Amino acid sequence: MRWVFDGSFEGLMSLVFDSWGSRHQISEVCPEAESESLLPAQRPAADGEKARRVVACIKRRLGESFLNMVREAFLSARKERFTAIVKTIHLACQRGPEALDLLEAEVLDFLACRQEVSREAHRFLGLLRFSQLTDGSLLAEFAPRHHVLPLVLPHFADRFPEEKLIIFDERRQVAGLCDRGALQLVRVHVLIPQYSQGEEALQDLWRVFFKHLAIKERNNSRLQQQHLPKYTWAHLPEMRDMP
Amino acid sequence: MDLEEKLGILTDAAKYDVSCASSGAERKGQKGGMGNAALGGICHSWTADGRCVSLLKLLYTNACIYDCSYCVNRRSNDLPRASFTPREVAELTMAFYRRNMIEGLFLSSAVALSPDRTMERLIRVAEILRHQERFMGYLHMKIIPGASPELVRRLGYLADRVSVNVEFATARELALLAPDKQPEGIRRNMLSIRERQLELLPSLYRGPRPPAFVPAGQSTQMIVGAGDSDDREILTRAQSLYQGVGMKRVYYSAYVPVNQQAEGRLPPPMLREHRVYQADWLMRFYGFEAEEILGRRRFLDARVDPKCAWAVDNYHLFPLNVNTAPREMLLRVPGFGPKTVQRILAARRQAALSYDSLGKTGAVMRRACYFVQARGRRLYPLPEDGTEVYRALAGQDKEAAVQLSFLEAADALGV
Repeated sequence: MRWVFDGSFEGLMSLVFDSWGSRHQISEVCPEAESESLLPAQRPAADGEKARRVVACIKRRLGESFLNMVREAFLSARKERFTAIVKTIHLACQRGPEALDLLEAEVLDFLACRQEVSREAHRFLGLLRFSQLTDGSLLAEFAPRHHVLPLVLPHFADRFPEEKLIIFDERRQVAGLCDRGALQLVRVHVLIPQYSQGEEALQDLWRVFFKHLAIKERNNSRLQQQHLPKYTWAHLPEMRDMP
Repeated sequence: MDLEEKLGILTDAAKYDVSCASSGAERKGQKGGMGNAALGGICHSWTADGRCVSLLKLLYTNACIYDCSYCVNRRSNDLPRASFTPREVAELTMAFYRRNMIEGLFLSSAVALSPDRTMERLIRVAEILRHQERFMGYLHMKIIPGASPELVRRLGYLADRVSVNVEFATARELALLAPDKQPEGIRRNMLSIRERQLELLPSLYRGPRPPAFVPAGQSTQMIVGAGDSDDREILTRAQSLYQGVGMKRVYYSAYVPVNQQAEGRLPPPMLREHRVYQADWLMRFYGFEAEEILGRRRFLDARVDPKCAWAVDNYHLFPLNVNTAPREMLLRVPGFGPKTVQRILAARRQAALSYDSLGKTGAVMRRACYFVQARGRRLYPLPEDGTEVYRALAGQDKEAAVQLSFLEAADALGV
């Protein structure tokens, strides 16, 4: 059986409630926006009360850390993410948190989704680059594969407590704002940044450092690209002009 | 000299120190300041040689009074020389950090005037960053070999990590290649840090927590292939540093013969460096002793990694039953890492593992297949003796295949 929901976290949690007891019959869970098949599907309406009960149940029986893993997996861009989340929650509610130790397909999918998200979030803690705008605030733009913005924003809020930050996810057109510790996510369609004077000169200094740091005798561009995949280059001052 | 030129010179001068880690310290941000520290460290970029950029790695000055024959900055080299001011280093660090280009600063220096005079400059930089700029990010500061204990102590309260390089595995090589550096001075520096750390262990004080002293520990570096030490000397030295002075990391750096004419230079011994790192990993995360890894060898096997080499030497201990073998033994199976072993232990508490499910634990079965069985099932036919396994494993090591063919080609050309 296919299950279709509205795409929100609440919608997914409420779907966990409605599909209770039918783990083995679930063939696919997908959001309305990605639903391509013409086959019949269950479309339960999102219900805040049901979602709250599911979340409370996960917290109580499986622990806060399990819930965080669910939230991380939810940010994945993999096609099978929602199916894996729903089936894994069902399984874990039956068998307890040890369900994550099983080598079942849905658990492995769930863990893989979650791991990809947390890896990419960690990668962008290092790869985001801020530029100063004319009003003194700092802007970083990136195009992550997964929706990692909610995971990276708190890190920078802690790191730069005296700054105004804007982190813009180009692919999803969402910006994370942080003004001296206060965080929010907003939709942004176009962004026309005005960089402050001296930003270009500072990036030149950075490029000088970067170029001189490499040891010619050890050149290994394959290894470099393995760590620094090409989709990140457009937003890195040191890589922007590479072929 | 403008800042850009200085930065180029003093980055060039610093790049042969391979340490890059920003790990080991954890610190929250603080109102009124800038920065925090992440326990696992964060990499910010990777250079064209594939090494990570985590810290702003600079020399304070490259004007050196020493004349070490392996070092690019030695007194007798005719090179452009430059020095920063403490302010300049602090401002560069803050500007790069604010744009998230770096995790912090790794500041080293040539020995200018005397070890103590140089140390005072480095301390000044750290003081400006910590006290005036209220910088809470990562600081890795070099200790100048032979610096006095009071200065080492002052720096230790400002930095997250400090390091003094032993440079070579043996005192013999140090005397030959770096005659101005005293092995005793280096040892004294490392021990004085260790002693202070031990005095501040949480179990030893009462009342409020004392200020952090080198919270991320100390590291050091050994050059591989500049002198005549073998891998046995390198690994036993590393082991004694880990055990004796609580070293957090030993870095190894394949020697780049910077002081020879560029045309006549041998390529750096990258494969040897790679094998030494693999052996170091086995000591730190897999419970191996240096002696065991080497067996009767002086040098690590070039064709297979040291774990495979050990397993082939001890082929009579295998195949292991993955459902009953203890953790220490599972860790010794080629193709199993600490994460794989953890998954296997967790999964077998739920249900006995089948041979075919091992691949799902993250194990690299094309190596592990020679060494494990599950519920009576195993690779069939399992080779009778180790030599056949050795051949099969050597065929899989792409890294070695590429590097060895390169070396053989270099041999053939007579370079």
